[in-house]
Amino acid sequence: MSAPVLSLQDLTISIGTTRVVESLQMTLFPGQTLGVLGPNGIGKTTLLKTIAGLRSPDRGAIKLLDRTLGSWPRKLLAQRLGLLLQHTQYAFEASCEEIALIGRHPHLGPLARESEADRRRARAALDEVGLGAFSQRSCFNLSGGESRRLALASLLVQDPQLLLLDEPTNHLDPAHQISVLDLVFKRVAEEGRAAVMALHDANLAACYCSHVLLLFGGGEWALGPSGDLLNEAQLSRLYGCNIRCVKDGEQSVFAVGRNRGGFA
Amino acid sequence: MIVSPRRVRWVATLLGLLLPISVLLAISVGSSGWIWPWQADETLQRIVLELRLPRAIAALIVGSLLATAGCLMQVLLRNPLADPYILGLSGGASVFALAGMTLGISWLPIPLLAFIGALFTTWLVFVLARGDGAWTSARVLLTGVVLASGWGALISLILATGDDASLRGMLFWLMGDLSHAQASSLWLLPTGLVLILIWLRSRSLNVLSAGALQAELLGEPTRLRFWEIFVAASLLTGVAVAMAGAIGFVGLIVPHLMRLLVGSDHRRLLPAAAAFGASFLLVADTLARTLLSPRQLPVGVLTALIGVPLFLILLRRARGIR
Repeated sequence: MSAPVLSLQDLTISIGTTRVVESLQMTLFPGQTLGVLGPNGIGKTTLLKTIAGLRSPDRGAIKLLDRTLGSWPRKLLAQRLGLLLQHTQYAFEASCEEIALIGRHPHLGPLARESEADRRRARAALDEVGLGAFSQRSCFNLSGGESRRLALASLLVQDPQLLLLDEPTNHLDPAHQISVLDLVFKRVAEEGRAAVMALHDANLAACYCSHVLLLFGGGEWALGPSGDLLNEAQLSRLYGCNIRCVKDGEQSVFAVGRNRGGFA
Repeated sequence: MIVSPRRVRWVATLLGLLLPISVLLAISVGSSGWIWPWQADETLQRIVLELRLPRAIAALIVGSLLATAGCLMQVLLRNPLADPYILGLSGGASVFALAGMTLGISWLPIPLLAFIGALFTTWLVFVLARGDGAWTSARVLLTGVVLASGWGALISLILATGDDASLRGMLFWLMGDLSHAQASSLWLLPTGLVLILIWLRSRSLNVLSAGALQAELLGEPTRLRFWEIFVAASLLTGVAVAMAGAIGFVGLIVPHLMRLLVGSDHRRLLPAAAAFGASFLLVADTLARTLLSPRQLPVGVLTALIGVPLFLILLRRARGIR
């Protein structure tokens, strides 16, 4: 088996006095996609930011490819690791192509200009996220879903081996949720990349993630292949509400029911 | 609004033409009316060479410094409403420079004092606006506005306790006045270097406009860059204030207008803002000394009179301002 893209050893992270994870052990290999699931405010974003090197853990080691995270020069790190932030806001008006092109920044020398090849790459990424017709349009005229896909295009242009995605399907309609995750899945499966994504939808996690990490709060976590961990008992405990698994022979679907007079 | 390469070429040509035209205008017109410099007699030629031309050059320099400082503060705050005057940098620079003049600290050069004043204000604005946790651009702007009026009060205090003889000169200088402006070569050298360094960092400025986190993720040493912008914007403001006092609104309107014309990419925006800022201030100064001739107005009054309504119109039309 090839070398891991990401490995976490004894990783402990807190927000203030609240534990997010306690002694997390994890190894992510090329071709694997890890879904991070947990209730609101449990620390999914904090975990992703820690892996991205934006904040330091309380304890433990993060290794990206063959080096510890801290020993990567920032620019080289940005060529290998990218994070789709949960929120993107544009302060100044720019075209979608210009926004997508920003992903080339870590690949260019300080004085270099984007080449025609970079521009082609940006337009191709816009095509892939379904914004091909938007390249000369203003980033101020986008809907929530379109601006989410524009941010993903920027990440694709950045071309990192480890893709971190914080709720990539936010604001997207079902068709676009599927096409965005298809895109990530294809990049991971065919190009030897790896992805970690925070998701809210257990069904999408079951479809697209080889592994899942469940965050229960208080530092408690569970990690395993998604087929093993995504079940009624775990999910109901994770979210503190009744979640039912419905099988139709082809696929299992997790359904939420009303609490009163529910299924339990 | 999306900018085509054709439009960028057009704007570049226009800005390139505007510079010599504004200089020609400035040296041709004066209290003796309109006379082309090549038709002038010997006395007038001396006036042109020794008075009008140096003043015109000072106006060009101050205009481009203020416009560039405005661009920098706007990146720092990710807010097109930021500007060295509104954030109190010009006020801080004025107080320090004025204190130096009245207290007679003659061994410290005025531009250095102004630079320290601007730097101190920038630091103060961000420390005070920080509170608990991260600052927001609205809080920084408000803090800056309050600090600016605080500096204003200190200036009034210094003026009120000063002697009457120098009052008018000081008052003019404080409102922004180019009549005594001199381009001191000693300070222009480091300022020019800083300007070039900023231009070379244009792509980093684009990335920083996308937000600190995003910039960090794209490999920018964000903290270091913020400090660079702090110091650079303070230096540009300090030198501008030392030369011509606190001229407002140039750093606000010029980048705003240029963003509408050439877009937000700093590789186009910075040169466009510097060029237009230069011509804009020179034309404003020419108007300031001829409108009520033989009386001269402080140019800061004129930039404010042009700037305030124009800015309000832009604010109503522009989007993305939070």
